[in-house]
Amino acid sequence: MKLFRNNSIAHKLTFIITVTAIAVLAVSSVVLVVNQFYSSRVAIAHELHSLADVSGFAVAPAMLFDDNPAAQKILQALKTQPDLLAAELYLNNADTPFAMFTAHAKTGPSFARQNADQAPCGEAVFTWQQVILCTPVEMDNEVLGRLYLQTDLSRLYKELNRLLGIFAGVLPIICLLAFFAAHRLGTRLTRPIRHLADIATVISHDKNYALRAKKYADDEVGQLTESFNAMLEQIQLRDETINAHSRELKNLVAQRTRSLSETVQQLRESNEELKDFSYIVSHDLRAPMINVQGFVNELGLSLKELRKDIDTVMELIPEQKKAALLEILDDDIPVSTRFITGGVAKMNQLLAGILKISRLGRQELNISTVDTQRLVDDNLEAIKYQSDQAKAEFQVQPLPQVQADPYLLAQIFANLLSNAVKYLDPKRPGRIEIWANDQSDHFRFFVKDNGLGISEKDQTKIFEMFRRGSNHAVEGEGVGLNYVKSAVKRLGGTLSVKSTVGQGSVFSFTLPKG
Amino acid sequence: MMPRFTIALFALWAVLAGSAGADDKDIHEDEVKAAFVYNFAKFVEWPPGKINESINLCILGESPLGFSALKAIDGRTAQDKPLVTKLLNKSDDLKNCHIAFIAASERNKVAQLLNIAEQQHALTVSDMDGFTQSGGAIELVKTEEKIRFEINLLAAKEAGLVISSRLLSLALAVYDDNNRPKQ
Repeated sequence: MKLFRNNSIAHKLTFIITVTAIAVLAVSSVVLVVNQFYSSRVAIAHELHSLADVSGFAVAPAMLFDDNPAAQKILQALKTQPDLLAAELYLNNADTPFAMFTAHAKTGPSFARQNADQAPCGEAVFTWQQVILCTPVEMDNEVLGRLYLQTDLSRLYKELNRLLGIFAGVLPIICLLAFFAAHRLGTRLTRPIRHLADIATVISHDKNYALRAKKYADDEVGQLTESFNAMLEQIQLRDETINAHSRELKNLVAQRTRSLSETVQQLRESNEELKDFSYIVSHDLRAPMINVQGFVNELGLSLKELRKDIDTVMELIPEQKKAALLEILDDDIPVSTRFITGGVAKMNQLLAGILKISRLGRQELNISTVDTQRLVDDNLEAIKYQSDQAKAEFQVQPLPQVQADPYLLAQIFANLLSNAVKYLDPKRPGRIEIWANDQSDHFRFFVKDNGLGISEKDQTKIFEMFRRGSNHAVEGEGVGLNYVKSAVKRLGGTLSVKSTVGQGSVFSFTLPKG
Repeated sequence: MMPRFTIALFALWAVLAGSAGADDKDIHEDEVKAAFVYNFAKFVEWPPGKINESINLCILGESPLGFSALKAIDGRTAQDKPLVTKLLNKSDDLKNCHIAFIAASERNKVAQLLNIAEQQHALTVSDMDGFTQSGGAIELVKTEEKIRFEINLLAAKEAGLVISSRLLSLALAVYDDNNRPKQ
């Protein structure tokens, strides 16, 4: 019934009602015809009995008085019976009829008797074509003989045919009527359902929850419509609430975004300013520094000349003054110039660091495939002297190829490796391990040492510019880790450290694969 | 149902009887006439109270039909009453008779006998010629080797008897009047 399943309810109703009407009509027609058939048979048998009784009564005296012409006359009177085919009268124990009547030539003598002999006398025997009745003819409780009546049943069939014909004629009309009635009924019955379905379709398509289904009647569909409308009400309410919330949220987000982008802009500007500033400072301060350095050197040379000159005039100066003068010339001034030179050198170093870091932000990145294995090997080669001095031992595990700026990456490794060597514990042999993990979308590189380690409070400080850990025994300008941090960030990664004082540190940084 | 053998025997007997002598033929005719007389009893209505236990058939005179054939129907029932046959010696004793069979030998006394019978409400039957014309009720007539009968309805009426129309319809002739036939 796939066809049936895919049709509308109205069609189904129409179909069911029409089929039911036709079935009812067909069944009742059949029942009626069958009933008509049997009741007609009973009626025919009854009529035949009456006819036989009457005829028997009439013919009995003729039999008594052996008067066949009279009997014949009486039987001839039966020709008015429309369906009677034959009537035959027999005296007791006689083989030939005492009198007989045949409606047609084709029914010969004894015809009825031959056909009826199978049954006991008194019962009607039906065949398809005819019915034969045998009746004992009695007079004063004395059986005189038998009367056989044979009746044609074709009139019964004609009647049945007529009935069937009527039904056959009526059936198409009834079918049509049933169809139209069912169609109208089905359409009317399903109109509320169709309406409901249409509304539901429109709502699910347009998301317009303000629509309402029209209620047609107070039946089940009416209830459904009410519930549906109530549901729509709730959905609409909820929808409005959600919309309001969403609008509020959007406003809030927009507001926040606005203020955030402002902040970012400000930060960017100030950061830019800061970069420019640091660049300018570091760059421009170097020239006066070089001047200072130059003039301090000049001052030293002048002092030497002055010392030579003073030696020549030494005898003229009193002994007391001479000692004080010599102290100034030989000790105080050289010490001062030495301090100045050291300060300037230090200042230069700091300026170089600042310059380096400020450059980092300004430089264009030059991304290419970098063989980190080779890069690390080169770096280790570069610090071979220091590492040999510190008796450090390196363990390098196979390292991947990455997409990065080779210069920056080299700087990162150089700083981390030199730091690792620099802060080894002189009391035990140094051991430095380098490896990398493939962590789905990025690589993480590790540099682990068994050096002095960094105390917890220093672990945040070490990444700040010009700040160093508490271990001032080791030389350093305090720029390295800050630079590394900036460089890693520039490459899109992060830098972190895990360290325990006295056991060593593990520095690790990530590099995105893309 | 009768076995075929018996039927064959009957047929043989009928053939033998048919080809037998005149005596045999008369005997058959007498039997038929006796049967007719008996059958008449079934179609006649006597005045109320006339019939008590039996229908009495009185035979008057000497008839070849006489005693033997009529005696044979003695005891048979008609209208739920047994038929009793009596042979009367004296014609004046018709008091308890319902049917009076008057033999041809009594031809001379017919008028007198009929008169008595009428008073006694007896159905008069005879096989003598001209019986109905003489005022008898039923006359047995022999036609074309067959026994038939004529009825004088007036005579029956006067005797207070009602003869069934079923019987009348079989009569060769019905007289309503002494002379004129009805049919």
